[in-house]
Amino acid sequence: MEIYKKSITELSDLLNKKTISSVEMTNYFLERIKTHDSKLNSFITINDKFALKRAAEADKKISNNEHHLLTGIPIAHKDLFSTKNILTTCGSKMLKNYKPPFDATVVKKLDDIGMVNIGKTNMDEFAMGSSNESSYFGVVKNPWNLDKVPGGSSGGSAAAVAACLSPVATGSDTGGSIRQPASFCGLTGLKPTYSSVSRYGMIAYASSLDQGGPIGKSAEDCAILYNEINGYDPNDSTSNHEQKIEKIKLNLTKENASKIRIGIPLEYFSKNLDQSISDEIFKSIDVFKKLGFKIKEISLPNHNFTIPAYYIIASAEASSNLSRYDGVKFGYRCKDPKNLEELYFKTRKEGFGKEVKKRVMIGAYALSSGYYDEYYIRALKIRRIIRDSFLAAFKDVDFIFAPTSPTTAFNIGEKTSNAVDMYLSDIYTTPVNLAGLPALSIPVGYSNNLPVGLQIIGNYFSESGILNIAHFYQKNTEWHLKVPKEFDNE
Amino acid sequence: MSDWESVIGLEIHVQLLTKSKIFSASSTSYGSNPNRQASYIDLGMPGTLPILNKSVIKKAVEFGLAINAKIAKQSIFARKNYFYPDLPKNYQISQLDHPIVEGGFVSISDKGNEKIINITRAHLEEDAGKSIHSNENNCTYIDLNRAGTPLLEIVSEPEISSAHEAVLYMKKIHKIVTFLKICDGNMQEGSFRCDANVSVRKKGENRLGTRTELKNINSFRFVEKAINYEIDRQIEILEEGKEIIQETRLYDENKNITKSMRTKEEANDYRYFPDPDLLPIDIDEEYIQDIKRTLPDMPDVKMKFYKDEYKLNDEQINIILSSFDIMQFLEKVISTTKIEPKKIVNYFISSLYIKINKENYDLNDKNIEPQEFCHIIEALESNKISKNNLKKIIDELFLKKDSVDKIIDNLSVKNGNDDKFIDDLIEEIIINNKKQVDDYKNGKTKILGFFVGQVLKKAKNYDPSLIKEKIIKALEDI
Amino acid sequence: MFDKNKVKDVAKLAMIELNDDDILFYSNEIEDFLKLVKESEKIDLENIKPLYHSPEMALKARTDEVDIDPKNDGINSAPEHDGRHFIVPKVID
Repeated sequence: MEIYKKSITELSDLLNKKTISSVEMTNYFLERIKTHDSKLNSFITINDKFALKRAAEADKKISNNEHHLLTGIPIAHKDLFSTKNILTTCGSKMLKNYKPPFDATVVKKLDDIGMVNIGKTNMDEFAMGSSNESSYFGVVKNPWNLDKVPGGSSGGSAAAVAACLSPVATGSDTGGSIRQPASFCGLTGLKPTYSSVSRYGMIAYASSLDQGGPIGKSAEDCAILYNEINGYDPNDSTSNHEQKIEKIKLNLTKENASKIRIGIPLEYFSKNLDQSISDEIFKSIDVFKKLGFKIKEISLPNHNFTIPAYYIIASAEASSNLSRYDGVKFGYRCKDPKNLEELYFKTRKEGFGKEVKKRVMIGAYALSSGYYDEYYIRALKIRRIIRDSFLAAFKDVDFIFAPTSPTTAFNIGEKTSNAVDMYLSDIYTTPVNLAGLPALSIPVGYSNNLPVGLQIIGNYFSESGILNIAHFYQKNTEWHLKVPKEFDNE
Repeated sequence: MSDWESVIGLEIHVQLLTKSKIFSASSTSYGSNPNRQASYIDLGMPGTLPILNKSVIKKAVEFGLAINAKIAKQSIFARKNYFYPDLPKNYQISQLDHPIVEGGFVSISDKGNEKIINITRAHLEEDAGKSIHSNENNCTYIDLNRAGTPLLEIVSEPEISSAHEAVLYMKKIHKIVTFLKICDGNMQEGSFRCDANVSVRKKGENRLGTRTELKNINSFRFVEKAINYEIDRQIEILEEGKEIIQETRLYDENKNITKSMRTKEEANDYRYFPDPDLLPIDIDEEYIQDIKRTLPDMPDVKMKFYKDEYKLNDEQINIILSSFDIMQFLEKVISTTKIEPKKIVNYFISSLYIKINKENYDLNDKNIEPQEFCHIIEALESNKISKNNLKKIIDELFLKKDSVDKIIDNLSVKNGNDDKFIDDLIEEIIINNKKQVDDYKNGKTKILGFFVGQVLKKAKNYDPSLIKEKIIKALEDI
Repeated sequence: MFDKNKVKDVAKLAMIELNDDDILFYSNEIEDFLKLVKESEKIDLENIKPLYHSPEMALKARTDEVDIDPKNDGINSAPEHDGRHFIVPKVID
């Protein structure tokens, strides 16, 4: 039956028709995790008992016909989403034993409609990373090539979905952490407009940039999930309460397509971009042209200043957000501190990994007296310039296409000794976070047998348009249907 | 001593009287068991976010308007970063560059002399929890119940020149915030806390001397003592040619000295930046005007008005202004009836005020409405009822025995002057008590009481003094 | 120059203990990063205002109500507590 390849709609259909129960489906994926995850290390916690309990509840709902499209479908949550009484580690030693007493809003929303949480996925520690090599729980491997990184920080979620260990997963994106792993793993990943998905219960990295979103096998699956997780949350002051969001329907026609103008930013296709990636992207643009979309060149200047601006802003916010980890109220605590100072200094030295400590210190430095204007304020000014250049572009076009990453998945260990290099690989994703815009990454081809991703960026709250464009493309192509050979078996 | 002058600025932390905390829906009530009022947000648990309580904005704006300050059109919360166990997130959400209230002033009156003390700013922030140090167990216990309680920090300009003025200023602020009901003013419970910045300099010197910050002062009396001690201490040091160390000092009320706090933070770099979990507070003119409309005039303005227009004396004024409820009640009565305000207040003092003070009566219970009080005192003024019935009427009203009008009627004094009934009664009593009439005629004037008593037996609720007059007249005619 | 002393200062602000190897490591790492930042000095930001949030929105505050079902069991997550208080090594004031 190849259940592992099926879309959410197909899986839901099977449950509806009672061809298979949720308990059976959940067991099926749990078995796959057992069989395959040792190769990938994509899960930190596997929920078996809890998941089967939830699956049984889902089956009851289904038999009473009081269920939702997503009822009974398994899902994996990135380990920064608080799950009540279930280990939530954020990929860190600091929280290795932490069980939150409450659920994140995203988790609760999906739980309430009956999704089955099968496990918590591995991630870069505190979401700081682009390769999933900084996790306390070990490196995650890319299912397309086990010597390569899956991308980060949502590497675990991406690997799990790419290897079909879970039909869909949640991730978070602060500087590209959903889109880049989606791109490296041949998946579709959505970073929603900042404020559209509640951050309550999401362990914070950078408050003005973080957004939770879906990582799945298709735009359709992402749309289904996005419909359920977006919305105003009174528990999050920064969540959208002004713009009304309609449920997304995927119904783009060729006629509509011809009215849509897509911009290709010249500056993004410089010598820093792998030629083969550029080629794949332009091939996909040809497909879009054939499908009727209007393509034109645009300019997005200053994008090379986004990396320093992004890292300064994110590190500044993180340095403050991570101050709470001090061994007093939750999380790791060093052994036998002699006094308060030692409690703080040793707990944070031992509990945090290298990259986290580095960014916390950069952030503290950027906010410190004498450097605040030079670093923090300047970064925020660059942010405005980047945002304004997008808004200017959106006067001429409706959506923007860009590469997701300048390279395909790189080797494990390749960039760990060169942090700046690692940072620079976020060049296409970070501008979107700084501006707070929505963007989707979809697979559009291969280079050296590794997936290549295309980014579709839209104006605020244009997720419907973005997902419709992607879905239309996916109806006419097959990149998103491919499964890595190693995992392409029942 | 006389060639030195002191320069003092006060920072007053006022706990806002809201039901729930500033960023979470935990209760703010005092005295609960430790950590029973500390939610996930208060603890700063991973993934929790602050949600602003509307009421704190309203209260801050009320205060700003009361001191004639400028209300910020846009005000921003900032994080003040430092590590301490009673600060759960290891940052305090406060305000730096864009406080909600800027400028403003209060006037203090010292022996008839008015002085204006300007206020620099007032801003919102969250309170920290409490640490309890234990020597025996060599540890510190942390209670986060207080963490997240809303505070308004009011900063004065360094224009206060003596400890006495400092107390007057503090009392003024205390009066304003309690009058407006934005704070309960309870210093024992920590709802009203004061830090003082004190420095001295030679008279005529323009530059400010090095200042020290006095913390941990929780009564008016101690503020005065602490500041005076500190001024003397600083003068003594300077006169010896030494320098003042800029530091924080604690006041020891038992020894009446200030002592240096062990500097755990040198020059703390708080790395303030706007809190990214909160958006700017936008306040428009309409909102401010709405609040202005419902704001009562401040005590100062009222005092002058009561003195000049109502001709009330100081004691009477103090009583009216002793609480917002009393003021509201009496102003309503004054505006409803034509009786002189002086008389109204006196009636109030001899009846309801006693109930409020001795019997803990709360005007908000509405056992008596201003209208009803009007009826009663109008009846008193027109002699419809005798004045010594005032308390009785009010008591009966409280017991809900009857409506005001009915009670008044029952107790009302008939004006004996036009009453044939009384004249007939007096005549009857005189005829039936020949012996007593003779005694009176023979000089026993005290026997009058007997006649009055006899009349009152049959004619209840008549004014005894009027009856007495009638009897005297009737007896003269014999 | 992000030298050893700077690293020590910043580590103190961030309350992170560092040994000599750490200090050297972070000094190099952060120095490299700051070189990257230096390149953005080329851009003229004279008349640009900082942007703190995007998209920009109005703050939605809540009414002053106490939670009818308050959750006060967060203390159970503490590494050291006695059910009533969080416990830390004695603080000397």
